[in-house]
This record gives sequence, structure tokens and C-alpha cells, in this order.
Amino acid sequence: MDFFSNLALGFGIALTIKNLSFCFLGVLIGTLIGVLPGIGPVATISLLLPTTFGMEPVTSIIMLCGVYYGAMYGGSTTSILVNIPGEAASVVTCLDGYQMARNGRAGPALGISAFGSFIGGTLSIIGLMLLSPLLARMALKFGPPEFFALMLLGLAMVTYLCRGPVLKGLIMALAGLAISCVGQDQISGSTRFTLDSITLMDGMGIVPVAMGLFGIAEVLTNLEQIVKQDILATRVTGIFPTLKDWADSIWPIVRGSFIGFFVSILPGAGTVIPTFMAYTVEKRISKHPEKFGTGTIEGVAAPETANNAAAAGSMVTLLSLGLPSSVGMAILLGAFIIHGIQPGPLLIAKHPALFWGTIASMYVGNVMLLVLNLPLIGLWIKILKIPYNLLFPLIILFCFLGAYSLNNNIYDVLVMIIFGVFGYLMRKYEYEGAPFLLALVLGPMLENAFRQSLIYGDPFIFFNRPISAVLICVSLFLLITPLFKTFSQKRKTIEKVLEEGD
Amino acid sequence: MRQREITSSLFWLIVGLILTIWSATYPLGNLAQPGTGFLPLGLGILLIVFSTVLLIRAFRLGAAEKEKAPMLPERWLRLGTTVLVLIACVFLFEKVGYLLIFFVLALVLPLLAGQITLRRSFIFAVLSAAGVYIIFVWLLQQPLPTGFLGR
Repeated sequence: MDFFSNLALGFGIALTIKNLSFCFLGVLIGTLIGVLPGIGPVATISLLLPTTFGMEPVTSIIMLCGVYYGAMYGGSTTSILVNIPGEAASVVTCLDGYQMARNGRAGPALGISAFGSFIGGTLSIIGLMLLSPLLARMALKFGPPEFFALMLLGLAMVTYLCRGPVLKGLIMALAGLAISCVGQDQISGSTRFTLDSITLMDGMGIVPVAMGLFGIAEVLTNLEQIVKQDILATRVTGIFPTLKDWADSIWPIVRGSFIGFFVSILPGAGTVIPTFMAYTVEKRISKHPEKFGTGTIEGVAAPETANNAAAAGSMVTLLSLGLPSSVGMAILLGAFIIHGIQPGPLLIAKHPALFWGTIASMYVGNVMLLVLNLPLIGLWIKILKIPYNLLFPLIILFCFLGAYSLNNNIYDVLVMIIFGVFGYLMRKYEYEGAPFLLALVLGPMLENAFRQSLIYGDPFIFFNRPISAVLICVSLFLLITPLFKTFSQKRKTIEKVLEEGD
Repeated sequence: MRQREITSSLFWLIVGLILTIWSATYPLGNLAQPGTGFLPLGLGILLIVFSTVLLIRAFRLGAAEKEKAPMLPERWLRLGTTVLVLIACVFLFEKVGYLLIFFVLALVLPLLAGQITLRRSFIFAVLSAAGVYIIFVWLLQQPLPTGFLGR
């Protein structure tokens, strides 16, 4: 009964004219940035954050969440029509989506990705609604060692899932943690690494760093070689999938929903990993795996459903434990904190209107996205035709404005540019930005939990408590095994090269 | 590839050394009561260890790996100029004002990217500056510095 009255409270909040308008604005902007390659939800949420300062917290969170899951819908359009992922979680959709478009089936590909996204998104919101309160109740029993271990697991997962050597991911995570130490030490109150700068006393801002690492760095990377986007279909027809398309896609959609939701709950999994998993599972269990990659509808339905299910699933740990499971969630955590709300086990009890209002708005937003996406595909195609040499100055202008508007401090813009150049160089040297940013966000919480745990007087406290011991062992396993694997693989490569040389 | 790996691991080695030395200047405390410098010191030491491993790997494996083609000078020039323009705009933003800075940014950046005429770029710059004014100043009431134009 409590559950239904809470849900009614949520809908009461989400269905006010103001919240409906901002939800619509959020999903519209989300879809737009999902369509445009080179600007993702992380940079957009960072950019919009300052414009939400004057809003009520619930309205602001409803809009920013709308941007996040809206981007998942939009990303598929670019993947299918241009063969360039609009955002990272749509990479797999390119494989079969673009092939479907080449076979003259762009319409059904776009249609099934919209319907799949809707079903996956809706099912995972139900999961979020049921699981978050349970997890929050469980988390009330957590102490600093458990929270430390959980954050460590999140960082280990992000590092483990990085492309390239784990060592590089580890270095980026360590660098992020080191940068998070800049500013005031929350326990002793003294300042560290500030070079007597007033701006740095408050620590390194997450938003300017995120905009630099993901917005400016992306622009600089794209500037290296401006490629003319080749749009395959300028008129898309037959968006509604046929009965056969539905019969082929329904189980991939169901499986994609479950994979997307449950995998994204794992700290660090984000929205990209579930899409790869959903695609791999479909290919493995398919009766005709050889058709994958040639334009099969299951190859579009599964990953597109999974990324939307993952968007809601990754909010479980944020809302119930206060821990971001991905970079996007880290920025959303920043939004909560800016509005004076600390997500975590007490969020549901302290701010029921915000929690249930946000969840109800996600149902509404999903319906809006379905209605919005199908008729507006023509508009998205037109937007895709904007040349990049006009698009990138706009992205830079918005980033400039967003960083400045945070504190009306020009040094925030400078920080953004510095981290933009840093992010660009790190990409060139094959280091990923995700562990860096997640470590920067988790750093202060991680240090507090670490130092509070040690105050108990036992340096082995992390291994004496069962939950933290298990989580730390899993983290160590994730970090150590690839190191040995890399070494043994590399050693084999050297031996092979030497043998060939001989 | 080898040169890149060596350069990046040397960079991180230097960062690790600076972090370790700098952290040691803060109170370290002990295991029961860690001080301000405790965690950064640990991070610095780990950075030194991991970057050294990467450096050794780069020296051992480098010869076997293929070198990537270096980036063309004009691309470096394009990127370098873009970054310099951005930094110049940061330092001039409050003095010159948002309207002129955004106009200049929207005029210069497309020209740097190429494949656009000055006329089109000019029109784009006027529209962008006007758009920023309408959306951010007029509608969203963002307080942006007006510089000498505002006086």
C-alpha cells in the first residue's frame, strides 16, 4: 500500500505543468545530443547544470535525468544512418543498424530501436523502483569500511573495463584520486596542493574537469580530421516494424532489458558494457549467428534495449547508496550535491518527493521519447547534416558558458581548457578518461571512508568485516589478474618476435 | 608506439615523484590516525611503481611494436591555434565582454577548421552571439560580463 501511495505521490509531482515541461525539455535535449556525434550526456549535463541553480531540486533532477536517458534514444539514429555512434552506448548498434539501413531497412531499424528503448527503459524503471528501497535499507547497515570497499570496487571495475592495459587505467584512477586531494582536507580542515590559490582551496571542480575531459577533448580529437558525414538515408519510410520484425525482436528486447538493468547495477559497468553483453548473448544463442553484422534486426533490438535499461539501472546505486556507477552518474551526483541533497540510504526517507517524483518522471519521459522519436526522425536527419566545422564552435561556446556560469569564475573555464588538452593528449597516448573522472568524484568520499575506517584502530579492519573483505578481494582480483595476463601475453609476443628474428 | 609509451610513462613517473615529495611536506600521521599527507603519499608511491613498470615494458616491448604515423604539421597547427585562441579568450573574457568574445570565437574557430568562407563564418558568428544573448542572457538571465561594451 505504501508503495502505491508513494508512486501516486511521485506522479502527482511529475505531472505538474512545470515538471512535465522540464521533463520534455530534458528528453528533447537528450535526444538531440544523442543524435549529434561528439557531444554526449556527460558534457551536456555538465553544461546544463548551472542553468538549473534557480530551479527546485526535483525539477532540476527530472530534467537532467531526462537528458541522460534521452541521449540513449538519440544515439541509435546516428549509428543506424551514419555508422557513427551518437554516443558511446550506441557503438554496437552500428554493426547491424547501418547494415539494415544499407539494405533499405533504416525505418524498421529506427522503429525497433525506439520501441525496444521504450520497453527496456520502462521495465528497468520498475526494477529501479523495487530494488532501490531494498538496497537503501541494506546500506543503512554499512559502515565506512563497507563504503570504502564498494567505492574501490567501482574504481576497479572501471579500470578493468578500460580499453588497453589495466596499468594505464590504474594510473588514470590514481591521478584522479590525487587531483581529488587538491583543496581542503575534510577531516583535518587544512589545505593541500593549492599553491595559495583561492580557486583551488575549494578543490578541483568536477564539472569543468568533466567538460574538459569529455567535451573539449572530443572536439580537439575530431578537429584532427574533420570527416564529412555520409548520411545513408535522407527519407526514412516504414518506421513501424512488421509482425515478423516483432517476432524476431521480442525476446532480444526482453533479454536486453534484463541484461541492461542487472549489469548496469554493478559499480563501474555504466551503459556501454551491457550493450556489448546483450549483443554477444543474442549472437551466441541465435540459430543464425552468421547473420549478425549483416543487418539482422535482433542485433539492433538487443543493444538498443540494453542501453536504455542500463540508463535506469545505473541509477540504483546512485539513489540508494549515493555511489555513482558511471561517469554520467558521477555528474548527476554533482547535480544532487549542488542542490543540497546527498543521495544515499537516507534519500528515500528524507526526500520521498524527489525520489518518487524522479522515478515517475522517468515513466513519463519514456512515453514522451517514444512519441517524440518516431515523428521527429526527419528533423534528426536534418540536424545530422550540420557540418562539423559549424557544430564544434557551438559545442565550445556552450562548454565555455557552462563552465563560467558554475561560479561566475573565469578560472573554471581555464581548468576546463587545461583538462581538455590533458584529455586529448591522454587519448592520443591511449589512456581513458573514465577512471580519472570517477576517481575524482569518489576521491573525497573514498578518503573519508578510508580514514574513518582506520580510526577504529585496526589496520586489517577491511578484511575483518565480511562484506568489505569480499568486495576488496573482488577488486584486487579484477586489478591483478589482467596484469599477469598482459605480462604473459607480452612475454609470448617477445619470444615469438625473437624466434622470428633468429 | 615505443616513443609514445616512454614519453607517457616518464610523464607519470615525474607526476608520481612530485606528488610523493609534495605529500611528504604535509603531516602523515600513522596507520591508526592517518594525516593529511597519508593518502596522497600512497598514491604518489603507487604512481611511481606503475609508471616504472610501464616504462620497463615500453623499453622491453617497444622494438617489436609498430610506430604510428606522426600527425601532420598542419593538424598540430590547427589544434595548437584553437587552444591558443581559447586561452586568449579566457584571459580577455571579463575585460572585453561575452558578446565580443563569443563573436570572435564563432568567427575564428570555423575558419581554423577550414572548408568555410569568411562570409559564411561571419554570418554564423553573428547568429551565435545573438543566440547566446537571447538564450542565456535574456531567457535564462545568466549574469555574464559585458566588458567595455556594457559601460
